[in-house]
Amino acid sequence: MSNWMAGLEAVLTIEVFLFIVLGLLVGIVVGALPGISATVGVAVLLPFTFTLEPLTGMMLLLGIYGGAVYAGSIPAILIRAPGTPASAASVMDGHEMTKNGEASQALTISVIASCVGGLLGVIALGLFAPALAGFALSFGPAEYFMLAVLALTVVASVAENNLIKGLLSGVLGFSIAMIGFDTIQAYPRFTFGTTDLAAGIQFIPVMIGLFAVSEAFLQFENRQNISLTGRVMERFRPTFAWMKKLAPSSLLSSVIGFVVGVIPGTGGDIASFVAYNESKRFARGEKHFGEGDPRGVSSAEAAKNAGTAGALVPMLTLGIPGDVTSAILIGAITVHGLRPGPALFTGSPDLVYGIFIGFFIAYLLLLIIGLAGIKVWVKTIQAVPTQYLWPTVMVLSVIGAYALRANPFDVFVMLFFGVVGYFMIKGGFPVAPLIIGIILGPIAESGYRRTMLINDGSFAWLLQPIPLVLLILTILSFGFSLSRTFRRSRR
Amino acid sequence: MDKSHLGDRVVAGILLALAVGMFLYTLTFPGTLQPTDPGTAAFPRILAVALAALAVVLLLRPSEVALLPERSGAFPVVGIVVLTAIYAAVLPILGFLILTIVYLAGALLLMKVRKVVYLVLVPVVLSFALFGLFGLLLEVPLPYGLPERILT
Repeated sequence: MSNWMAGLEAVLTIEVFLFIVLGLLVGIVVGALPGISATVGVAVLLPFTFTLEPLTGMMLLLGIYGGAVYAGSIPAILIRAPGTPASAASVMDGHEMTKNGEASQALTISVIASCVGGLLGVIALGLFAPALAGFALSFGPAEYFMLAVLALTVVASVAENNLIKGLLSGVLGFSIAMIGFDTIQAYPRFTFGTTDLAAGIQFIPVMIGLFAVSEAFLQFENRQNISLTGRVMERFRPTFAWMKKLAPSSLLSSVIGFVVGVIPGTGGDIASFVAYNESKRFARGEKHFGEGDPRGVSSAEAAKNAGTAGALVPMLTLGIPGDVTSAILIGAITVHGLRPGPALFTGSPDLVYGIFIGFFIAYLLLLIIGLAGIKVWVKTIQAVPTQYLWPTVMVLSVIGAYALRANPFDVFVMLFFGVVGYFMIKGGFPVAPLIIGIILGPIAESGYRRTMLINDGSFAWLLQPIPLVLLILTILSFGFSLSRTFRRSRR
Repeated sequence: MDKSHLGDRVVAGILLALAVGMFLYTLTFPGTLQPTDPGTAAFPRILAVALAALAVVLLLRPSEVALLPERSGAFPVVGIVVLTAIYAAVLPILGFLILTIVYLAGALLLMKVRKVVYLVLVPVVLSFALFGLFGLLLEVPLPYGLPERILT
């Protein structure tokens, strides 16, 4: 209980409250603009949290994360253009409702279900994460090595439909992580004699480049404006019967969303599709799904936001990112000299429990802000001219990369990875495995080498219970993806 | 740009070359300090082999992609890359404010903004706003030139 009190004390300050609200407002705008995903928003604004207290900075980023994941559904529902990948499932019924003249109802479902999913997800996070962290305290290098391998295999398998490209992206990420001093002998590898590379490729410029800059390049290529107008916004007031009808799909999807979100590499993007399909299977009158069924919207919305909380479980307890945005949040924590993992729960309980409580408050505030201003948000987003937006994103990206060490080299790293990310997106290579590979690379290598040192060069550790279970899961995950790939290529 | 297998094959070739280069580079790494330690070269070698194997699979089973931008989109993409490279190179010399105004004006031109009043006003207002917010309020380290020194 004292940990919860420490968290509550840390989070109940005006500063934290203001930054949560600021994060939510930025997140709603960012998420609702097609192209600027939650990841881009968090990546671009991450460097500006360096000067803030760790909890304040985290709450700003989590506000953006929650707000953007919710708001991604506004353009998905109105113009069939998901603002974030997690909102893609909301298009199916949400946009059909708009076409049926029920846009206002769909947007109301979106905000309520998002917040229900988010709140339930955060409660589950607060309940399960400390227990998992306690269990993870017993993890040694062998367990971490196998976890890193499992996480990368899962990420590469689920990120896109192409297993080979997913694995290539992940291995490339691992390889980039090999640049700089190695973790055991401190030998400088692949530095080509430059001091700029001795400490390794800095994670933050890579991330800004891969997510924000590459997306900006795509927007410079397309140079299209968005239009949310032309949609009739009817009057709509939720009733008790209406809520009762939507409650089962929202609750079921929140549970599914959280569980799927916990699996590394999935997050809200996949959670929303899985939950949508499951709700469709369990719902009565499922033939209406896909034709503008409000339950379809509520299930997709609840799941994607529950997934945001689920993604924080492996990130906080093991230091393994649950999705790409939580990979960036790892950067936000490590920059303050803290390391996500079980030790964070004992070393900085105010931060960890503050995150639980703060994220819960963020979803409560999102409910108020979202419900109060559905029409206002649509108008605000409409007023943001994309021609001015993307040049501004570029400047913010440059500032962010430069701010890390006041070193122009990092800006060039960002630019290089912006170009890499651009070609990866164009070539159908998932970017998520690369960034997660960069984070997991050092964990995997030091885990492997330490394990071999401890076991006198023997592989007997693979038969220990936890590494063995993780190995079996890795083989199953890989085998499943492989069989799916073969099945697809036969068709 | 039409989709073809060429894009994947080119990427596979680059990755294969990268994997070979990576493996050869590891030959220059020192040996292990302890006999049971796999050594500093072990993991990069495993990765180089994995990268090469996957690149070969991609080479043999490419999918159809359009890697390069459409002809109309090529100029703004190349333009913003070059502009950003120049911006990054000159930033520490000229400072944030002046250079950001010029950079933003250039980027807006690439985004098809043609009205002179917007090309002047938006960069100036945005640059000062960003400097005020990040440089002064949030104390994010930004490169200082003469205007920044005068302002602070």
